[in-house]
Amino acid sequence: MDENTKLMYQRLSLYSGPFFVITFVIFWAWMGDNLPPPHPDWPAQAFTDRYVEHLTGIRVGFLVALITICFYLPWTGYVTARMMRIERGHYPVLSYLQLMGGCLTVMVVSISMFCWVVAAQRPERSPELTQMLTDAGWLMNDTVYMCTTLQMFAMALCFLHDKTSKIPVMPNWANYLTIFCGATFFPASLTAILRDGPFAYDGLIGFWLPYPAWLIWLFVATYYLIKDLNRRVADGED
Amino acid sequence: MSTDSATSSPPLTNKIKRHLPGVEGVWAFIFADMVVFAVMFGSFMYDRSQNLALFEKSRQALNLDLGGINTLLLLTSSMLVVLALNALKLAKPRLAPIFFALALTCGLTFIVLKAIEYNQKFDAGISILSNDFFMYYFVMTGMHLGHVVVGNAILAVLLYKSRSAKAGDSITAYESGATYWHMVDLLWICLFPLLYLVR
Repeated sequence: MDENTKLMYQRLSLYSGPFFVITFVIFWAWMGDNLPPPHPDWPAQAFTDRYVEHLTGIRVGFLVALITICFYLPWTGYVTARMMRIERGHYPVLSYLQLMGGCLTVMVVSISMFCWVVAAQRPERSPELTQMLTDAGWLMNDTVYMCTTLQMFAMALCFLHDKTSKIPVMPNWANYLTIFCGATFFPASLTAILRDGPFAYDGLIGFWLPYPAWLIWLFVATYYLIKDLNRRVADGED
Repeated sequence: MSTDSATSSPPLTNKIKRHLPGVEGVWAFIFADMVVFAVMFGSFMYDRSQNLALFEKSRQALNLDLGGINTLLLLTSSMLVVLALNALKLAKPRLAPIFFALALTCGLTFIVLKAIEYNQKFDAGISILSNDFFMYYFVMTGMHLGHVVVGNAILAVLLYKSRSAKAGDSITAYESGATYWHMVDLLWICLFPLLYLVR
């Protein structure tokens, strides 16, 4: 593969990150009727009504988002390769951790949407079942986040310890922002216990903090990774 | 006051120029973290205003003694961390590990007392689901406790690192850790009156 082709795939991998975020907002959040999310304390019938009223949007939204979530994978791939250049040698453990975390993130978010696709397949089901599938989808995201958190921690730590790059891949504050955004998921575990208030899965701390934090982080990280890639090309760095 | 101390110890004035302690990222992290806590404090005050009687009645069930002792512990440990950093700055690095160890002891005692406090609540049949006040009480003090645990780990690392510190070493890492620990202290200084004292 010649150098230009390799670079093209590196660029495509990086741009697939923001592509995932944009499609996620359109199809997962907007079409999937997740803005605002359903209220966990609703009676079961309200969940069924939500699916019936927005059936086409929810079906199309999550089916498309289930495809575009996988664009998180090439982005993770590029980050892994970039980290391995810093973490030289035979034991790039942070790079591997980031890679595994990124892959599993896709599975966690996919299984969550899969629950909602099942709910939307037969909206005439008993409302309790629809309610349960909706809850299961949310709790999948909100309690199985540690893979993503570790992915973000590994990436930040690797870039913070970087002694090889002339200019750091990401500025110091962006690495700490990465750690912060990864940590915003921790209070989301409370969504399994609290069904009302700021810590429920539609609450300020349960939803409006961690989800935007994750998506904003991905934009910030991509911005600096693209800058870093352009610098590498300009300097003729391998 | 600061000019006084600067003139009374002229050798320091050159050394201690105004600078951002620690790395900039720690400040970015602390800002974001404190915004989250501020949102929770706001949310607490709003819900409290909707149900004053319940919040006041529940507040009276809290253990003021343990809360007060924990406040003193964190304030003391913050001071000890300042002393440790001063020791490093003033080229007395052998004192730093002692101060860090004492600060860590305060931090660990905080955790033990918090565990006792939680246990008293559980024994009284009070849990996170009892009412809105106790939801905030357990979540906010719990999230703060998480910060204390991380802070203790940082203090332990600084303690270990300072044992081999020599005069003239960079103190950026110590400043970063100390800044985080002061934030943990500051958050508690906001939490304690908000939960335990506000009538």
